[in-house]
Amino acid sequence: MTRDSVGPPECPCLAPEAPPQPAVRVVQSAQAPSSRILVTGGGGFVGGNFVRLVLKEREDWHVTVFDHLGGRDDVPVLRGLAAKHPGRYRLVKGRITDPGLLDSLFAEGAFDTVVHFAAKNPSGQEISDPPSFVEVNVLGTAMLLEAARKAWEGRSGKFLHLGSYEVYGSDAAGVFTELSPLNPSTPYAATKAAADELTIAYHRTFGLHTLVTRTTNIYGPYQSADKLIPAMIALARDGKGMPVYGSGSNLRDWIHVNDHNRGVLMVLERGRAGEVYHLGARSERTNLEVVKAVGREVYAVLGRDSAEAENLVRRVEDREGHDARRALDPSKAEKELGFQACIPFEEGLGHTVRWFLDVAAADTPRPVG
Amino acid sequence: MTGVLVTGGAGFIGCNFVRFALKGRPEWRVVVLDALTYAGNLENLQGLEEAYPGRYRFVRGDVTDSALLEKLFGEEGFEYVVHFAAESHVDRSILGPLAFVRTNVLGTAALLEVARLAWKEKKGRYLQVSTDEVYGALGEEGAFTESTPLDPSSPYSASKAAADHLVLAYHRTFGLEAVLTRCCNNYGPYQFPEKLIPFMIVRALDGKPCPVYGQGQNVRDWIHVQDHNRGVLLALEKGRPGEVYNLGARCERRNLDIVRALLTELSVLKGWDISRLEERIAFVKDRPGHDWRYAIDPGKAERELGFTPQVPFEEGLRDTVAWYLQNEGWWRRILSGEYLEFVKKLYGTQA
Repeated sequence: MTRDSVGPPECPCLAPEAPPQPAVRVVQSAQAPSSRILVTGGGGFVGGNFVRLVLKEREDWHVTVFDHLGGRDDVPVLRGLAAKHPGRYRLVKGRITDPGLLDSLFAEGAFDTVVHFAAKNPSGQEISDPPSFVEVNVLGTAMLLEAARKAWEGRSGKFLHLGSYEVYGSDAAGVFTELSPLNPSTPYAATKAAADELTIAYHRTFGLHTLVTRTTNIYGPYQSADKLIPAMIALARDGKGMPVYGSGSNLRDWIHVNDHNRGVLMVLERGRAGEVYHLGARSERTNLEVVKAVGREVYAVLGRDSAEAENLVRRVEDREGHDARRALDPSKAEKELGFQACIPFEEGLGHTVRWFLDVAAADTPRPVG
Repeated sequence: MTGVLVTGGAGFIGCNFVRFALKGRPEWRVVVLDALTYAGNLENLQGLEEAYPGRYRFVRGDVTDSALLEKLFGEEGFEYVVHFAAESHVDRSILGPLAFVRTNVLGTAALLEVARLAWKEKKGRYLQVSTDEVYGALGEEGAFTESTPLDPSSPYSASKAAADHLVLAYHRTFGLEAVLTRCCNNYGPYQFPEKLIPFMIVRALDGKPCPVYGQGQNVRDWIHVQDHNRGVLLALEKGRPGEVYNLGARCERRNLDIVRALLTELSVLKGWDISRLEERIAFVKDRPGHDWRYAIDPGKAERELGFTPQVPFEEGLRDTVAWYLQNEGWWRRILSGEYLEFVKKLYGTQA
């Protein structure tokens, strides 16, 4: 099977590199033609994809990425951007909790927009050293809000914080709206709820134009290798067993990172100050469906018999009672902002699989044997 | 002896709690940890060492100082922690929000973590003292229950909500025996004169106008500090871990009515011309993020803990006005900043 025969023609929403087609709705800028935007955490998966999208679709915006890059000099998602967008992109390395750093950054950057992706995220089920999460996620957000407020005295600016679905309860089941009570059950989720509430309080108290978005499960290029879809791609590629916990019937809502980030742009440009918006693709799949789909895609791309891929699925009897459905209702963003995800899950997944097999394989030597 | 850590014990509610606990729980040894920032006042705890030998210890320190907390847990083997320490004045949170996030959020995080690690072997109970302000504002009707979604409006209330989330998450994730109380507006002796009731008393006594935000129609729910602390003690000893208990006395008053009631009390005690009270009130521009109305439903604490407030508002207010008249030296030393000099002299550092 050749690659060209896999799936329908690729949706242009998928890759910022692909030329837009008239049939696809592209978010039009409703903001002043030029903007100077600070993107914290722009070296991460979602933030980095957002930076690429903005550089491509907002041609007169200037982007400053603020990220400590985990101590590295460079990360793949930002590689080549400075050369490709001269004068419109720069990277400032640092931590938001570094005293004095934000004030000088704001003084010299003259930002009118801040998109706050930076957060300390847990890598496993349980976190160690919860106070360090509080410092980055709560104090860091407060310091950023405070720097923006001081910089924007007598001027206007917009501040958007990327929240987490976990604020409604990490194991909570159901469909949540923006009015659902925050009920975080882990220290990490508590820090994200705290950051959301601070962001909203800055609107109520200081009149700052603040916004919060929350979403469910994001996937796409540049996602870190330990997350479900990239991990499954690697296992399927290597013909190894793909673990599925329990019955695999937990329903999760999946959104492609570009759909999500177009939503972030819409909220930034049209959202009402002090409001929370859910960004979801109405694309719920069970974990078993997701794992199977990844296997099929990987096998199809690699020219193997995709029916065989199902044999890789391994049931792991663990974590019982996690079959819950969890989804965020995106109606508010749909009605108020006209938000609509345009990348069907299977298409986005196919693209993601090809991206990981092509690009990631070029960087990373495959395991031998 | 039961080891009890009371953070913020030199503040208004904390010092009343410490006195109440030393008197009512003879088997307790109470260790007060207080940073003695502007709102903590060592005078509030004067005489306790002599009155309760071996049962009371004061430690000056910051609740964000994990190393100090670990040391204290090691020395004292606390079974109970009552966490009052917080930056609490909304107007100050508007001027300098970061101090609120540091003390209220990072401080709670540090305390929870040290308690969790210390109580892995030997269990203990943690009580977080919170506020009804985390619920946001109410309209004309209704009252906050424990299931009202959190919706804080100011950096202060957002920082308290953040701490609440952390406490409950520590219970759910780590099984920490933590209980949370949320209370409405407190009044009573030792309240710092920046808060509504003592502020107005002090202004009036100095012949200055009493400034009222907006039209003074904002509604607050009031409880005497002694009743609040009765609820804290009940929740600490009997509350179910992971639960929130609202504490209130079902006593809603408009701000303007509070000021009028105070001025009336003062007029009686000082022999002022009661017909000219209104001249002592000045209406000032409302502050940003000023919530319209708070009212708290204490039904759950009443049912589950047998909580019953015992101080009727008018009586409590009269006693409070009298206390401020009798303790003029106490609040004069606060207004002049002299109380901070005392700390400086004692500790040799900048308070």
